[in-house]
Amino acid sequence: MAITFTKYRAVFADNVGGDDAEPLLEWLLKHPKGKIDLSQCTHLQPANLQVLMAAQCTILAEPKDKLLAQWLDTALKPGMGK
Amino acid sequence: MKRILIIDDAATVRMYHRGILEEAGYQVVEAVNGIEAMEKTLVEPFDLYLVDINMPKQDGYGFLSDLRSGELPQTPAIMISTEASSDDRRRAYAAGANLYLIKPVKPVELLLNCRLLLGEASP
Amino acid sequence: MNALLEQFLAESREALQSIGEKLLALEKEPDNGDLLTELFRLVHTLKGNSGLFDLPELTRVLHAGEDLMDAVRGGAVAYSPLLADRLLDAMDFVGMLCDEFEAHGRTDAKHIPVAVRLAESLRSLQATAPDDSGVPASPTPGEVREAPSDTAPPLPLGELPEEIRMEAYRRTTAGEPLHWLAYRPDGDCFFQGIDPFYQARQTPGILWGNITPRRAWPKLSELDLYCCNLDFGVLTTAPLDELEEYYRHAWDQIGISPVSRRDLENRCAVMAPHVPAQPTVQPINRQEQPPEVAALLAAQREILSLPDDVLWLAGRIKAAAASLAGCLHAIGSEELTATLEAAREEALAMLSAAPLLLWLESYFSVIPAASATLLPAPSLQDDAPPPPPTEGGIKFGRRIEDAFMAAKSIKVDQVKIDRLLDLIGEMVVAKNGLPYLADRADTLFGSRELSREIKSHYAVINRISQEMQDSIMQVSMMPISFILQRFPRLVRDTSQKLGKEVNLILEGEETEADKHVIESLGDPLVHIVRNSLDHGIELPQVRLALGKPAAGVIVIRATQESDRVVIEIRDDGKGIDPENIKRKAYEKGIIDEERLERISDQEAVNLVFAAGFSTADVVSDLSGRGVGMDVVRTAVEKVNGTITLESEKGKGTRIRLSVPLSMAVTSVMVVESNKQSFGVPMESVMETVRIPRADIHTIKKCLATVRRGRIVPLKSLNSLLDLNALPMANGEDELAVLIVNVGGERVGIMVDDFRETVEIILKPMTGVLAGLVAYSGSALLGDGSVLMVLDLKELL
Repeated sequence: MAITFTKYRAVFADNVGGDDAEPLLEWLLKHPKGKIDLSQCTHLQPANLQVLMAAQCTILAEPKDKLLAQWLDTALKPGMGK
Repeated sequence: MKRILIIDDAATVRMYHRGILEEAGYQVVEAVNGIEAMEKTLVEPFDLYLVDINMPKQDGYGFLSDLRSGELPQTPAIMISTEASSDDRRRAYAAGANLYLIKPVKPVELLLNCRLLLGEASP
Repeated sequence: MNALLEQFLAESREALQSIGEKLLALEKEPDNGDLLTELFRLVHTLKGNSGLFDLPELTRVLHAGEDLMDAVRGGAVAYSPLLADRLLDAMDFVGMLCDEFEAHGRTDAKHIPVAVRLAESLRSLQATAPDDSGVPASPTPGEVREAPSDTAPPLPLGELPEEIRMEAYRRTTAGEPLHWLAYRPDGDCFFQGIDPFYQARQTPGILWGNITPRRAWPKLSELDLYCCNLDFGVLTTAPLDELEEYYRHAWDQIGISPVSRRDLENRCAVMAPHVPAQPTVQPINRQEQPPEVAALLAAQREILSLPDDVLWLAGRIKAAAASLAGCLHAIGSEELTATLEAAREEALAMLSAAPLLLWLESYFSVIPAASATLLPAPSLQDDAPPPPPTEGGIKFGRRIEDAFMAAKSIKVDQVKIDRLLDLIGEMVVAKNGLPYLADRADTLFGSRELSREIKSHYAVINRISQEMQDSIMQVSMMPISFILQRFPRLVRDTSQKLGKEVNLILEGEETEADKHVIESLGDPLVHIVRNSLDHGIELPQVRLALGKPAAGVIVIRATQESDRVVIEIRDDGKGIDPENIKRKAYEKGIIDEERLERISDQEAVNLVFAAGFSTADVVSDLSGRGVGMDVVRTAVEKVNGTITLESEKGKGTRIRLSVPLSMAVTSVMVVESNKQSFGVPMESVMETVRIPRADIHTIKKCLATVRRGRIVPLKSLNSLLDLNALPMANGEDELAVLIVNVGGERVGIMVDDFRETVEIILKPMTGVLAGLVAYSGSALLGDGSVLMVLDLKELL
């Protein structure tokens, strides 16, 4: 799995596939204030993105991948604090 | 005591607004950009925001939309701008402002509007 | 001089200086978007500030400058040396006016023609682009951009980052095709193994892309996460046929529309949403409201009429409802609150602003005065016939030479100072490695002489590094007057309003501390002084009746005590009644019954700092302090400061804040327990003692000893850290005890042994370690090992 969950944050790494979206949703339902670390993420299957957008979660760190960051910025703007 | 956060990168403007508001008995806190404003909000919430538009790091629009999407979205906010055009006003409203005032705001005008948004009768 | 004016002048001069620098930098790289944005911001700030004073000439010139820079920033006007010249001239004029304003408190009316001419010369650059640039004149107004195909949402130019917009503009200017591609994947595409995001990211010629939800998001628990609700947009320079080829499997899900250069210019025209004309409504009631109320209502009406397509719609609804509720209270129409509340709930349930808008329509009429305050100030433009702008004719000769003369000190970026502090901190740590080396030279290689030599060199380096540390700390020091200067005004105004007489005495304003520390003290001090004014100082008649002078006294005194700054705020007001505090604290559950009986008065008054003590309901009937004092404490502790309060009922209150001069280097004492080393911050260490085992007593299952006639409770570090070992005694059966002061209480901590005191840079715990509350951070020692520094407050 490309997402590691702790009590307070979900850390995305590399290419996060569609199978990760369901655990992510469950985790966010359990931890509505959970924060997301995308710094190591290179791509994420859009189901994950939908969860992040719908949950309006706080993004702790943008992806290091500039291009991906720019895309996500448009989708997650409120959380990204641009 | 009602708490008001002034968000503006110009120290002179902050001082001006602070002077007016403190004189009226409000507790005033300052922030120089949206990021700092959000940090301060998370420490202790405010009753009203005065928001400048053009600021480094995070501008007023960004801060307002963050605020409205966050955990305490209902706090009223006044955007204070130098632009009088209706496009600018609309943009401020779309981002989450509740009132749009043009710089420089006269002390009376500022206080009357703060009192209205804070639900206080004018003396 | 008035502080606001002083601030204005200082900020203006700083901005003028930066503008000059930025313009010179732009000469080297005229396409640097960051520089342009920064330049615009500077001129914009200057203009905004100038509006606070009666400086019409200055505002006029700056306004023209701002408009020009906005056009340059937006790409409508190209940067040119001529433009830089004129802007510099304008800024020289502004600088001159500032000087005059400072000297005479006003500016001479004779400057108006010059101001008009300067403003004109700036505006003329905007009207037509300079001849030596290839960029066309500003766009013709009134042209409408071609509507995109029906599936494609329009290019969200407002969202487009400036650098992308500039890049796109350049590409089209160079003749490249530019398209906006809207891609709306099938809802079930995920099940077909398609990743539309990946598809969109790989679009050929991509410049920028965005993602928007197709419909507003449902509650998280109701989210169908495998149904695609995303729309993608891509700005691309690929030719049409290449795009069609790339999206051939999804040709029915995309819309492509060409983007012209003009589209990129007219961003405001495209992004402004269409707002329906304000409906004419028959006034029902309450049209007698003051204009501010009408304006506020109109504002909410306009806000609620905006398209409901933002992610923060719920926030918008709540804020508008809160604003309306505030308005109802302010005008005394509370009876409408219930209906407003109902409309709000309905709006939130429907996730639509319509119900609130309906509420507004039915209870308040539209009042046209709404936009009256939004009109720009009338311009002087028509009164004075504009003389033709002269080419660089207006010079004030204060550009470079004067700037050198005027500089008494240099300005250094805070980042650079922080970097220096970091480096010196690292050197201090590296230096601490030398004693280890000396020991090894002695014990491992048996060379006592080498060891001694290393030690003497160490002493030299130690001295130099300490001096370096001191001098760099001096650089980032500022006097406390920086925050104290606003108190005379605050005290005067507040006391007048409260009908009290107060004399404020400031002492030690010149005391210096690190900039960060000073700045962090501002808000806590305001809080404390306000409390003194509100709750401490009595009304004059009350004071006279008590035999006190009618005017109360508040003293703020700052002193330096070794490496700390102590600020004392003292008043001769009514003080705090410890009984009252005890009762409140007990009622709030902050102390239990047992503590209630034993607690001393001094301890009791300090309970006002306890979290949870100061809530609104306490404040209203509490005679003493308590308004948000835990906030004050938190702010002070954030910079490693401490706060204590002493109060005598009827006599007054004294609050002492003690903060470190600087936050860079911390000294800690190293202690050993269970064969591990731990650091204890020196500021909490009171003494280190060796106590014979016989002198340790057991009182109610707790260990304690008597020191200087006081009972000191003892705790073993091992047991505090859940280490399964007993403290080790030395040969004489004595135990090493570190007496520490935590929150004003003495506690003895039993360890195995004491070691040296070291200076370290405390690094906060990060990552998974951040959850360990027992430690405030870690530090690298000279021998390369890591020292964990204990957080005694959490531990005990």
